[in-house]
Amino acid sequence: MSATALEVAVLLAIGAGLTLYLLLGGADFGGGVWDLLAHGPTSDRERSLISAAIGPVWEANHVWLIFVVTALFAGFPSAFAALGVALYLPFGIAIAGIVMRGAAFVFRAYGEPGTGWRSVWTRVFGIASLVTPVALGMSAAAIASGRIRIDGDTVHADLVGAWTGPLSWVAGPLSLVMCAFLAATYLTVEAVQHGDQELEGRFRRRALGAGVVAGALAGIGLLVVRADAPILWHGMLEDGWPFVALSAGAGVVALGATYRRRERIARAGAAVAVASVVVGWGVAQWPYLIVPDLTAAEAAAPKSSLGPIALGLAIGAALVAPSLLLLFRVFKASRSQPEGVSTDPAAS
Amino acid sequence: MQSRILEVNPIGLALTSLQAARMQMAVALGFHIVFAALGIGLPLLLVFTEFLAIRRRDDVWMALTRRWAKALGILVAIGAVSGTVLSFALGLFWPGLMGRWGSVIGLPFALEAFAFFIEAIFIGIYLFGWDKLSPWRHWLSGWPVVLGGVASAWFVVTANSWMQSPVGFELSAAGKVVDVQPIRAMLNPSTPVMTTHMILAGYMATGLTIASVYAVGMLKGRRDTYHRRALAVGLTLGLVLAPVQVFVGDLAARLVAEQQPMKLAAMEGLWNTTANAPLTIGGIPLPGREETVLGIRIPGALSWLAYGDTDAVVQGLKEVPPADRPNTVLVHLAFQAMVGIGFALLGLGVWALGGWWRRGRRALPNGRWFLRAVAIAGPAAFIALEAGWIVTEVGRQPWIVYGQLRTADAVTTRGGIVWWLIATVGTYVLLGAACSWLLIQLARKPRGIETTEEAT
Repeated sequence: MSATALEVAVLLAIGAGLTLYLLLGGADFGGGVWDLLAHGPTSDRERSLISAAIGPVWEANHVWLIFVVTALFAGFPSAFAALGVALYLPFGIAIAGIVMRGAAFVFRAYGEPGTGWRSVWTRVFGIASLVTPVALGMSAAAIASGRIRIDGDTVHADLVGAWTGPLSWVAGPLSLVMCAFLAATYLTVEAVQHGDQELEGRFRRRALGAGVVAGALAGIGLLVVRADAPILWHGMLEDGWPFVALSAGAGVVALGATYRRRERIARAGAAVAVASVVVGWGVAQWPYLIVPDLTAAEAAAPKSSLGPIALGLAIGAALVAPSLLLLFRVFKASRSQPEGVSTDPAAS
Repeated sequence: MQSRILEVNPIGLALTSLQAARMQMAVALGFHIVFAALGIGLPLLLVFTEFLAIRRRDDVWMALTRRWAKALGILVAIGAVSGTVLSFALGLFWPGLMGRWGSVIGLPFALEAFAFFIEAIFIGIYLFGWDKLSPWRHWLSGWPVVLGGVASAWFVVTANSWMQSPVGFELSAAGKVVDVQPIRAMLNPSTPVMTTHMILAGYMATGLTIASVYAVGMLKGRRDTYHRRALAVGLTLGLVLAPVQVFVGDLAARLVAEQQPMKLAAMEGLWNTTANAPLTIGGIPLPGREETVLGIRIPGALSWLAYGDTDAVVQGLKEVPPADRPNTVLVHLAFQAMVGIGFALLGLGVWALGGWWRRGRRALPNGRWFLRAVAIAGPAAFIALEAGWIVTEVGRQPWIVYGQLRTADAVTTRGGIVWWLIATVGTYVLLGAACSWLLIQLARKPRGIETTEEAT
């Protein structure tokens, strides 16, 4: 049974949503990582740069995840149900991270500056930001490495073992470092816009460091895929390799551009490098939604529901795309802002 | 059956997986619904107050707008993350619902994601765009938040309505779900009334909560324009909708009579199938003795309310074996609480209207007893809202999809749900307390300081 055009269309929308979640929502988690690691005399300025960058957009960025979850469950319900059983623990951990990260971020933003309240929630915000990318990365590896077996309606997956195989131990840290890499390149641009050269330098160095680590982890990941996820490896050799090459190339461009202070090119390169990892993964594991027992065609909802879903996605995208453009135009436009303008809602 | 497995846990409660999963869901929903309701209601108040602020160049209206916008920023964030918990929880705890029926009810959830997208995007613009947009453009950016909030509530409640009155599919001889029609499922018989009932409840609870906050302030002697206007705006929204809500609630009860007779029987504590069935006000159902004691009975009133005929036959709980009955004590008491509060709010509305009339139609009453009543109206409205959901959800039991799928057959085969329950309760108590503390700090902040700060 091969997938129909309708199934492919809905799946592509889900894939696009997942990619955007990583590029946008992932970067917000990465911002949390740098928030946690902020230290020394510039730490307050770093944190306010991070808060200002994340504040207006994090909720919208977070909705990409909700979109992925709901579209998966509408379009491919049996896959969603199987993942709920198989990834019972890591999804729960990811959710805990999401709740605490979001709550801590607003609690900090609306609290009085310089209070114990703020420092407590700053810490919670940073730690929670580590949790979700790692848990979701490990879950992705569980899906790709064939540790979730499905027999009819029964899911066989070890409560812990399914998502703690060798590939998960690379994918978890890799997704965290990718988030941090994205965030560092985005924050470099923000620092340039704010005219803060000291922070610009800091985030530039962090982008270089995170980029190198991400590249190294991705390289190790390929070796682990070969040993630990044969179906994925096969798909990579067959169809996924252009994306591997694209990711590597874009990563090199991003690092080079970061080094040569071309922060906008660096940001684009980092985004392409990270997006290619997700796209390459998806292409390599096609036609499986959950390797090796559930294909997209098997998991798909009937045509009579995929049709309205696809229509709904098209209408929804037509409404959301211009709104998102407006959001980013209002808050991420290239004009540099005068020093000292805060987008912190509590201070404005 | 897996769901019968007793779980060991540190608090010494012996819960089955099913019980733990249901409690987990109840806590997650009960928490989220508070933030969801305020997230629907507050933006409507904001576009109203901001309109007056800009139109009349009025600092007091603007101060209210700015303060409520900050509260909205906190509330929407907690609503967003607690809502995400629910979308995952459906898969984590109820894979039996999702796997089999996901293709029927997935559509409204996917559409809800877009509605929430619009809400989340424009909440960012609204909350952070004060200095970046002209006043009228800023005001306009509030409208997608209003509409996105209502739309997401509508989509989500359609999915719940479907669980009450499932349509839009056929079952094959082998029991497979076939001929799926998700749009028909979305527009199931319960949808119009349930979605309206919930959206009105969200607006009422928000308006009355705002009024409560400022009634407390006025009781403490802060009887300035700022407080009087805030109270008037919130109270008007809450109380104008009260009679509409009583009317819609009546439609909802008729709908339940038609779609879920056992839920109606539990709501009313009616054990025997009877013609000329009485309406029981108050009273305590005793499942062991299969009777309801201590209530006031109005003969024929239930038959009339449910079917428009005092001689109509109303089914009692004894129609089905005890295992197929919902928790009658909980459903009956929750229903009495909701209806009681609903009528009390109607009474408060009459009080407010009478006082306003007597004061030359220029001001609301401001006596201490009136303010005390308003002060408890906000929490009472939320109790009614939660009680309504208890009636809806507990009253549907033992079904997760009424008449089609038992809750026990939908629950996950995984164990340890009680740990999720403990973690969820712990987290939500912490977040609820922190959020309340922050909102109280926000409310206590002297206004003078805020206005000068905001002028910059």
